[in-house]
Amino acid sequence: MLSKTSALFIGLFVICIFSNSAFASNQEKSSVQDKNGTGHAVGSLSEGSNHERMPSEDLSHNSVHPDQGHGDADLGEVLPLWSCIPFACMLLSIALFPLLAPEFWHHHFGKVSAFWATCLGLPFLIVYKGPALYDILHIILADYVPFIILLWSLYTVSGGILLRGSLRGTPAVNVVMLIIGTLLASWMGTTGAAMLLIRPFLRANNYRKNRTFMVVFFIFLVANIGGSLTPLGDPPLFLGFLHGVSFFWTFRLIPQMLTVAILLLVIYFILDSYYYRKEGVTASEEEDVKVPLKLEGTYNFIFLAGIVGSVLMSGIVDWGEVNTLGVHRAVQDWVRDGLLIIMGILSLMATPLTLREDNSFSWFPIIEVAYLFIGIFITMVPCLLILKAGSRGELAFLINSVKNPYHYFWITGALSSFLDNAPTYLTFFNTALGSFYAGMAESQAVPLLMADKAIYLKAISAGAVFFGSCSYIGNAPNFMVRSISEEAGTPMPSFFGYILKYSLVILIPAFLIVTFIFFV
Amino acid sequence: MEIKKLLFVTKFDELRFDALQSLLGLRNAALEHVVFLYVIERDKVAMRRGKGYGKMEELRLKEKANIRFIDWAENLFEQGMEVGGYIVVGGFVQHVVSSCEKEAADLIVIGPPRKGKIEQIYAGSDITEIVRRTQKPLLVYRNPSQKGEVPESPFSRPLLVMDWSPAGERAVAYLKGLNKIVEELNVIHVNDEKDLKGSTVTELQMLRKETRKKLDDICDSLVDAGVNAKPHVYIGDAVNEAEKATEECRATMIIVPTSGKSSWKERFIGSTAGTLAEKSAFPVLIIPDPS
Repeated sequence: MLSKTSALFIGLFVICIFSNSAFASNQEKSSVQDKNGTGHAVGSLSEGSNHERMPSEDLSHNSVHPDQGHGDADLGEVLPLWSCIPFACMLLSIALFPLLAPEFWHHHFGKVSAFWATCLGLPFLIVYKGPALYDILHIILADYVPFIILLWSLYTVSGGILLRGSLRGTPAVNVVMLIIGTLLASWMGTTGAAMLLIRPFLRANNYRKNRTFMVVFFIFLVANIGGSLTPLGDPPLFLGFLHGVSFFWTFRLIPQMLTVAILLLVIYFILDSYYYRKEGVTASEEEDVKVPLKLEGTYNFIFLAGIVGSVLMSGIVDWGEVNTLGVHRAVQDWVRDGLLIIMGILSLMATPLTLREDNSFSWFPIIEVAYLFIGIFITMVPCLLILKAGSRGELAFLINSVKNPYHYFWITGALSSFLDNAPTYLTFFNTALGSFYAGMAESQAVPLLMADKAIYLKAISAGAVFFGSCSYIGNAPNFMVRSISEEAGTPMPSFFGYILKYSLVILIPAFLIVTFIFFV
Repeated sequence: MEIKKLLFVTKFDELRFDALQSLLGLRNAALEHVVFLYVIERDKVAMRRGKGYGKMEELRLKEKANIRFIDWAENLFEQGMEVGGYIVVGGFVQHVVSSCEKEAADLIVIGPPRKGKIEQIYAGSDITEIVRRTQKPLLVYRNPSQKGEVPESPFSRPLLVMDWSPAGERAVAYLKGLNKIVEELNVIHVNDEKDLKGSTVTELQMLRKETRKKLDDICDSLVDAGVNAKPHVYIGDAVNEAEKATEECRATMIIVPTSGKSSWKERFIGSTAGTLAEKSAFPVLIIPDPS
């Protein structure tokens, strides 16, 4: 009862603040309209701005066809900075609650997500009405729905593939397994590849004394860095794809990915060889009985190919647009989403439940992601709009301070280590758009970003994907791998132990090397 | 067909010891061994963001369950019964099926299903899966205090929803084996109202007579086996009519055969057995197709 009352009170309080701000903004807007007669708000920050061309025609274009970006740029210019607070709180909730109140979080994460979404959504709708409704609908239909459908289909299909049997975990075998996982991650998603290989990896090494570091490197490579080459690999890259980054563009991250992967594999091999010799352990006869490797549910690779093909198709063909609840979406995007659902359903129908049980398949992780991301996407609307407005928005200070590629790499990365990397990617993707192509329609700006400012996009993409491995909460498969390993009897470092003993010691120097080679 | 070994699957809050005690009347039939099973579903202890695998939580839950099981076992030992038990972490259906196979149980007893409709569509129904994979009779049981009155001896006045399928025949054979504990059995058949649309009164009468004839034959065979059986014909929706008949006949349990629709068909369309198991206030014994 108390919590409901508090929620209501907070909601009303936020509405009041929003109303005041909107009133002030509208007054400002009216005065500007009187002056230029264009009917478009031009925020005070635009005066004296040293940023990029911003002819009023561009704004006008954006207002007439708001679908081409995220809503109209006008709103981004009038929205106050604190309208991003629910977004920040949402991300902080995901980062802090599981550490500080794990039981509460496990049972109430959906309510927490709904709370922050309501805190933003309700006052936003009341104050800005039509445009706000449009922006929320747009982000749900154009971002959230395809995002969740892709994750669900990849998770469902890859969860139907089971690798039985066991190998003997020597340093060479382990390196080969890590390489295979790293290569698979870009095609079946980091979650899919990690879930497919973690149990065989643990079984292969169950006779070894020091296994903790092995799982940590598995998280680094298979659950994160390996997913950097396609939009299927890691959620941030798929968000980029949804916003116009072409499917094969991410292949341009091969040099960065290879640099980090090779560095990590070399370190891993040295460490594993050292411990292997030091342990001097050989598998007991019982453990040494080699069960031949056997891949079951292989027909799921067909569905996986169907997913890759569907995503590729949506990036190649142009079948026009269809209006859904006032939001224009490309027909091929809806077709892709439909095909992905079909692939998931076919996988569910074709794969025996016993196989999924042997895989310890659970719907919980994907349900958690679905609940959390609806909150993330709704609360991030103001933040994206403000960033889109470039130097005329209240986040101009951020846009002005993030200038060089290495800034993007490290800031995107640092935040991705602790906050979810998908919204972080989108935030800095929009920061780059606002910085270089403020006010320009997204459909025009993204190709320019890919072509002319590719290094910035590479920095953002690599930062979001690579740094996801810095903590257990940087990317969803990290905590799943940790949980499976602990369940199987492999001790894992604590949250801070992981960061202090592994991320800071191994990853950060590797990322520094990447920075000096590629982003300085 | 005897019930010698019973697998009692509990999560404690939905199925307590008093529920098990009310089933001990089965000792008069042949019951001599009870196996307890508590499945700690993996989501309760694993896959925690920020916490990893809750080993301590697993140990705590196991110990808590162990304490209850020891207490229950002592009680059953005193009554001269054999007792076993499993406390495991993992998938619910998976462990019920594997424990049933390992123990060669004759009857599985579980609490009412908790999955919502949407969850059943994407994850399937536990009841359907258990029945399909074990081919064993499954009793969906409730604590005596829960939703409606559950009698002290549920097998004393059961109601059989007959459907002429092989599973129905198996149910009849099953009940013959329970002749020592069944005091009165009501056998009903529900003619689906949808199939009778456009039928004349004469056709309906004909159908009633045919159905009644078949039921009489079944009841005669049951009476010959020592079970006091009475036939009834109903027209309407199978689930609603079965519930109505249970109340009218003051029955203590519903026995429903299931022909084993494909798991996917059942997810979307549902089945009489599944719906009764979910919704009925009475205990529901599902007898699967022997094939």
